[in-house]
Amino acid sequence: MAELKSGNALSLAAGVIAVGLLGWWGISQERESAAPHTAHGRIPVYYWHMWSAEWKPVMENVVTEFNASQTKYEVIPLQVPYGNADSKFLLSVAGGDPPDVMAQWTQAISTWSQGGILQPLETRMTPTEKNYFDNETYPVIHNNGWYKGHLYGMVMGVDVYACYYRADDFKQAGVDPDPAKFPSTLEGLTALGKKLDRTDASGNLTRVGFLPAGLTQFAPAFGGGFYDQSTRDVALDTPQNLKALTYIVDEHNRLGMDRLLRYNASLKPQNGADWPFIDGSMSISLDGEWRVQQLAKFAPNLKYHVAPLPAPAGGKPMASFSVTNFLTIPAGAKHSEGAWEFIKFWAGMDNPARAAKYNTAFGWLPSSPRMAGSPVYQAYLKKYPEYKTFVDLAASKNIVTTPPVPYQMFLMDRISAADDLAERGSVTPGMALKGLTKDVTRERSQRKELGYDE
Amino acid sequence: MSNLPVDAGTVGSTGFMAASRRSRAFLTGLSPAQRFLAHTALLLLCLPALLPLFWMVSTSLKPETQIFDHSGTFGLANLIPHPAQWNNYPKALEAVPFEIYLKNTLFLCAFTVIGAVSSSSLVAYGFARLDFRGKTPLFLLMISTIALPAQVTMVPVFTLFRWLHWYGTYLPMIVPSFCGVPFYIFLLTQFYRNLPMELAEAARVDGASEWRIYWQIMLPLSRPALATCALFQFLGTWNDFLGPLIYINDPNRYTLAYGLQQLLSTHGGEWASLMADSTIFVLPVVVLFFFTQKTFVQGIATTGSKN
Repeated sequence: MAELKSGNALSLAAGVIAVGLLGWWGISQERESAAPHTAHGRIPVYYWHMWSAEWKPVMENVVTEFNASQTKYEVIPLQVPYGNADSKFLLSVAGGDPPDVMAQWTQAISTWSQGGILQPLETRMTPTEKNYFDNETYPVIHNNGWYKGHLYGMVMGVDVYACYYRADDFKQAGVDPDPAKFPSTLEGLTALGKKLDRTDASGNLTRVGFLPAGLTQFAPAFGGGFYDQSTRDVALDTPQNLKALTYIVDEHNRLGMDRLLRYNASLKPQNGADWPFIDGSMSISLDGEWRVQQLAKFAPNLKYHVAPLPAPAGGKPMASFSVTNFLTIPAGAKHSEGAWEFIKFWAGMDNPARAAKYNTAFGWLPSSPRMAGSPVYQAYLKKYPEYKTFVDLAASKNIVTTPPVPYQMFLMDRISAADDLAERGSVTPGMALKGLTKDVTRERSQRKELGYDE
Repeated sequence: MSNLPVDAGTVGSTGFMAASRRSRAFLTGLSPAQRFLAHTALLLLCLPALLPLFWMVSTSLKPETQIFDHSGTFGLANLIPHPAQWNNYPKALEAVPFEIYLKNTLFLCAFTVIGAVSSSSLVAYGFARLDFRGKTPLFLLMISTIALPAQVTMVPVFTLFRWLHWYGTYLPMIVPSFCGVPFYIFLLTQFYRNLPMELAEAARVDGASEWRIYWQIMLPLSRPALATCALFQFLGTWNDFLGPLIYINDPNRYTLAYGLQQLLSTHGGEWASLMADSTIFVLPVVVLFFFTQKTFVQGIATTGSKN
């Protein structure tokens, strides 16, 4: 082993300094070339979103039209991958350099609002805008994105669920597929589903008429949900939720857990052209409005109709669970005024008819009756008549959404886990809901110990 | 000193050469029928690993309607596109600015490979061949950073780079590679420790400085190990998703690995284009590995990381 001599150390230090100077020059060049710039010297509004592939040009068209309408601001869009968007966003907030507008797909507005990550939006509305927002938008648009009296997320896209059914399967079973004659009660729909079930010689299910699954999807029709507006608290172990979960589990038991497991294992993934409804593995499927465009693309010759999920006896009609996406202004945004200009332009607060063009391009539901009645939206409904059911659902007061509590991601995760346990037959529906309440109570007390107010 | 009777292939690689000879002797010792059976078995074992690659290439040549064809059941016959859509490739190259992404990726690869290999070999040489106070604790400290997940340091490192005004530039991805990469330092330290001490001693007696010994003797001898590190670094940068995700905010600065995700969407995506671009994305790596595999395997064997 050799020891480092002082002469060697000096030449090494000289080398390091030379490389350092060269590096500094390179760093300066790189920093300069990466500096932001906008056309016409406008104020840049940085906007991050997750719309990729075929949706990216659709989204960029909104930005282009906004920029064309502006002399003051210029929106600079940046597409970030959906799976990693939250990491990038939260890191940028923690680092003090967030975008000015952030699209949010994660149902976590309350969580982030409590963390001080988002800015309130309703304080920016002019009286005219507030009047439109309060009195004209559908309840699902107006009532979401709030936390403790402030609006932190402007709802843009809304997913609601209705029954898709295959007309040919109905005809083969001797049932009229006319939407006007679709069962008016859940009991009637369940009986029809039984009639449409098919098995092979070994008794394995080859087609399921109607398979209810997912507590979140069925609780609204039973009058259930996960949040009580009157007490402003979560409501989980309720008689309505118990009825909904019991109904799902009873149907699974009727078909046989083992048979269902084998049947589910034989199904293709749920995405795009692989949706099992397309290949006839199911006759009736409760699914979202985006399937209308997918069916037009991947199965243009399939004859199908859409009808709302009928309510059971004592339940609520025109009910659905809903997932929404939002536009938000992060705390620390440098150009929040420009951000709000962009949000209200896209939401159509000044001109719902103009925004109808964007909603139809995305295949989104309208945000208000004015938007639904616009010529652009009516033309869209003419092109996709099955969309009408979803538009009617969007206007319903019986839409259930993610509870506005700061532990909403934990809550939805536990609801899903409890539902899964019951549907697999590991616990009874009653035990699943009691376990769910216990888990949530424990989480809340832990949060209190950590200093959170709820 | 340059005429010292030493060759990189013979130093430290005896074990690898012997093992290679043994495996070749095993196969050459078989009868033609046995050899055929052995190769068939090996090819069959390769199939599960190659199937995703076949699927990628096959999907890249299919029309959209065939990719998710639900009329039949899955089988190897489904892998064959009919007819092959060669125009998926030019379309895929137009779907994203492939040329820009490729240029950005190669730019990053070049700098990080140069930075990581040069700095790591210098540090490794110090740990392996020089005596200084606190060497062992420093080496242990350096090694322990390998176990530290990137997520743990993500926020403070991000804050640091933002403070330096490097956010939005390539600098957070390039500059750290010039400060040594712990894994390569570890590999190269093992390599330098295995080189005969006599070589350096002879040079030292001839009056060579420590720098000259490193530069003219040790570095040429460590070519296989350096090539291994370079290949690891190249692959790491080529496939890096997290770095561009966190630090790059300009689509014109995207790399291939990051830019290609734009072809995917939650309810669909442009699969034919994605797979065509992915095939082009994978191709240079396959070719690179094909041409450098001997050096690469030799490097792995001689750095002690094989076991």
